[in-house]
Amino acid sequence: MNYKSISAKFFARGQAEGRALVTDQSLCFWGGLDPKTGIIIETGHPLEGENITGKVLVFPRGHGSSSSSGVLLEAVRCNHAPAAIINIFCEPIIATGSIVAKALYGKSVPIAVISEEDFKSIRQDSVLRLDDEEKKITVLKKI
Amino acid sequence: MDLKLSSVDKDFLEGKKGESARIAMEVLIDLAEAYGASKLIDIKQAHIDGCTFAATGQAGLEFAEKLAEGGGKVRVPTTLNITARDIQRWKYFKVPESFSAKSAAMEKAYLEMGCIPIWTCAPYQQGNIPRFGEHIAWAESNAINFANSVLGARTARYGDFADICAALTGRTPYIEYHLTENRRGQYLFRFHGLGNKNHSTAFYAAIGYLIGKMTGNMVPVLEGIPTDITFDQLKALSAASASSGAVGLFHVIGVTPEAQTLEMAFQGKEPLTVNDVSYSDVVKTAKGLTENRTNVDLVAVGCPHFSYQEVVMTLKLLKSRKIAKGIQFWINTNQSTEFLLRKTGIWDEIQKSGARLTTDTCILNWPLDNWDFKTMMTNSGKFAHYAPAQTGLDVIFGSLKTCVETAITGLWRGNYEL
Repeated sequence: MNYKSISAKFFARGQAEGRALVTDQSLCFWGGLDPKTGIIIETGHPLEGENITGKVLVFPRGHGSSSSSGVLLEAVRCNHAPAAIINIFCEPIIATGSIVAKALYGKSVPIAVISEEDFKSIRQDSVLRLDDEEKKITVLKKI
Repeated sequence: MDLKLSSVDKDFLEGKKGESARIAMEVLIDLAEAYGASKLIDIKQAHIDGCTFAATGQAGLEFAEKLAEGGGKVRVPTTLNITARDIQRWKYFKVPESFSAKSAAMEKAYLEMGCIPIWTCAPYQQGNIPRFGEHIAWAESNAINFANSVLGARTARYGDFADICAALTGRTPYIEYHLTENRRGQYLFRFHGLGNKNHSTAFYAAIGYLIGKMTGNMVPVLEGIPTDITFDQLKALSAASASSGAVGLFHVIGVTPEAQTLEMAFQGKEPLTVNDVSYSDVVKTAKGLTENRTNVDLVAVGCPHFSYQEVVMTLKLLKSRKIAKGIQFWINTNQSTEFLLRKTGIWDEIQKSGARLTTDTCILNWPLDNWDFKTMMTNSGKFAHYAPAQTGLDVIFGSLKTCVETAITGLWRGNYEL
């Protein structure tokens, strides 16, 4: 079977696999994510109440507080980080959380950046595999 | 583009300047490579956001302690953002003891690394003022926005930890707003009918909120903003646009240093997007930040931290009246401002009204569980944005004048006057 693959640029290295949790809205982890549970808490956000633990979190870009790096790192420590992140534009604030997780805990959350067109093709709950060495995302199960 | 490291960078990376500096350089190189930087550059100074226990939690504390224990010392003047408690009065503000102890450990780690404890989210009003064009590494979204836009210094939108890594090495990736071409305006907001009325700070917070929502990751340019906009109002605009959006640099025509004209702001090019905004659009944004409530338990102002002048304005609006029984009125500021307010007796007058000043932190950063609050009022776009998720409170947004009037009576009368 031929899987669809999407070419990607990686802002944090690594391989991961997981079910896609998709939003077309930007996200701020500080005040947006509870790192102790992995639940999105931003009031009124389309993903409010969803758990990101182990998911491939797909959102166009970050916004807001510098503390989002800190919240992502704390989520890694608490084992409630996403398996990976896919953005159209990756803010340094998001990337730093993952880079420091690798330096401090030896675990990182791969972050892939893809085109807007490819971003729109990713369906909720599809299963994705990210590989920084092949610089691509493979859609293992399409919904 | 390949990243070229200097011999100094290589010394850091090889651990010749200590283990903490090695870790810091490793993080900076990862960041530089991710963003395709050609080199690292020297910074003149840094501002650290990663020192707030509430935000970064145990992981942030472990990182800070690892760097401090590894002998990390800052190599450029480095100021500290807020911590997670009022250092002098945490008991009064009912901060849980265990939480206070964690915060104290975080404070200790950053002090050991040689940082300057101004404990404020508005370093630019507390002595840390970079000059025009200077490369700096700042974190804290409002401060980044203010430094780039109002002061014309150059920083990327750094997150927690990139800040201390830059401070420990005096180096940072040459990315984002460090480069002249990335400072070019892209999105033109044409404001109509604002006139030269004496707008409140909350009015400018609403403008910030509106542009933050619409800009995405472009650089916004604001035309038609009254040129009498004050330092404190630019502070409110910076904070709100970096909360609702990802704005790290904006230009106000005729006001900010890189935007004396439209041509300057757009570096001679055309805007990618143009949008017309009216007075009523701004008022609509303010209304959108407000829940339909009448009883207020907490009035919180000072996000970003109130300046000396803003405390004076609050006192004038109080007109010797007292805050209603059962209402808390908290002014968030810093210890340097407190020192001056005590010198001039303004501190005592504020206390007499029943209002309280809290320093070193803000209400978004320590648990309010020991207070029985349901609804808060604020004149800050940033508080209004983050408070529902961070504190669980409903929010009413309005001008400082309306905040004071509400605190005197305990009732908000549906006044949207900005």
